[in-house]
Amino acid sequence: MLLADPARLQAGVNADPEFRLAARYWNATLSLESTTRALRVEIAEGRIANCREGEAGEPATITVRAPDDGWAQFLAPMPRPFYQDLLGGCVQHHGFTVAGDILTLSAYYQATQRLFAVMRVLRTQS
Amino acid sequence: MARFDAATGRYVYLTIDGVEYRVYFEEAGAGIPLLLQHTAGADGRQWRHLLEDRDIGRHYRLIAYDLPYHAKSVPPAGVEWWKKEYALTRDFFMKVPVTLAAALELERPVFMGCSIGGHLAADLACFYPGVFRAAISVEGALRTPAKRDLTFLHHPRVSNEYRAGIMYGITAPQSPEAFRRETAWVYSQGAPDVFKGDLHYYNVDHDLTDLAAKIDTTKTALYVLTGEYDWSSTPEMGQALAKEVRGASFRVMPGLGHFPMSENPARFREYILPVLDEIRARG
Repeated sequence: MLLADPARLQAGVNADPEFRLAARYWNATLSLESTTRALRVEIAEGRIANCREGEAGEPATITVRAPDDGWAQFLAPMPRPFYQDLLGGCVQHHGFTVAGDILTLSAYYQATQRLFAVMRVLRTQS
Repeated sequence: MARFDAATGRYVYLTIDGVEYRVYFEEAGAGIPLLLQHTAGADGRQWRHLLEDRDIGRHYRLIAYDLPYHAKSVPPAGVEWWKKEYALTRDFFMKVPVTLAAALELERPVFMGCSIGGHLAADLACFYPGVFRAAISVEGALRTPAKRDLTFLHHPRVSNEYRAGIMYGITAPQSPEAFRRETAWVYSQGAPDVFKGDLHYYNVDHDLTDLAAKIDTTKTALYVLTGEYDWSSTPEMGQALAKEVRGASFRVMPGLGHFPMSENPARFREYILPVLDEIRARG
């Protein structure tokens, strides 16, 4: 499952005013992995500098893994209960895993939420 | 002419375990006293919509207070609180509304709380039977042990934005965006260690697993209401609490999260009005 078109995600997130505020000073690489595909998001100074399809298991600051159906539920326009949130909802109740630098994820949790919010919008439009 | 909110605020001095606390509360309405307890790391602002509800205020005197160490209830001057880690205990937490009710000379008040306040509603019914005519547990449970590492809820390199983000994620996606954001905003304003310290009660000190069955609902009626999207104190957990207590009622609130009164006050009103009407009818 392709989670988002990389070019559209990069453009959409970089144009999102809330992401730009929440992601200030952020440098990190995110690997968002489904059963079949991986999306690599490279953030430099609070903007997505590069976004591309990657390989599952590539080193990243933060890696989020979930089955295809989990991602589909998480990225639905109106998520079902507990799919509305990554750490509390999806990780605790729906089998998502998060690995890597959890301090960084915590510090930039709002930015991460905006990234996912843009992904939801893009899926609705596609 | 200026348009005023219905609520008015003032301070009252409460002495608990020999320490004097200056406690802030806001109130509106007249009738049966209804004490309103906020969630962990938050404050009485969460109840502002209920305080403004004139239908409720016709029959109830609503009193929303800030727990000591929260918002306008600053830490007590007589304690060197800065030398120890803040942790909310069940014993102290229960004494706050009980002492406040006595200080305000409230006659057979009703208690309603959310999250830690929801847990407290059940604890008050258990440990202070009859002090409150009814206890309304919003997002309460028998127990809610921590399911993850809480380190970053109080960490020098993680700002209050994290707590706000986590709390935004526990609201329901159907709730009005402005109120979801306001709910999270309140969480961005607490003292750095207070939210995590409140979770000591939420995760550790509150455990009614072997005690809930002792609650006597003829002395304190117990109502449990849980939002469908609450991944922390889930509907299943709320139902388990109500099931343990003979005479307790339980209701899931579809399309609501962990903060019904602040994230979607119009929807919450649909669920809380019948409960308040029933309590009033029971006298």
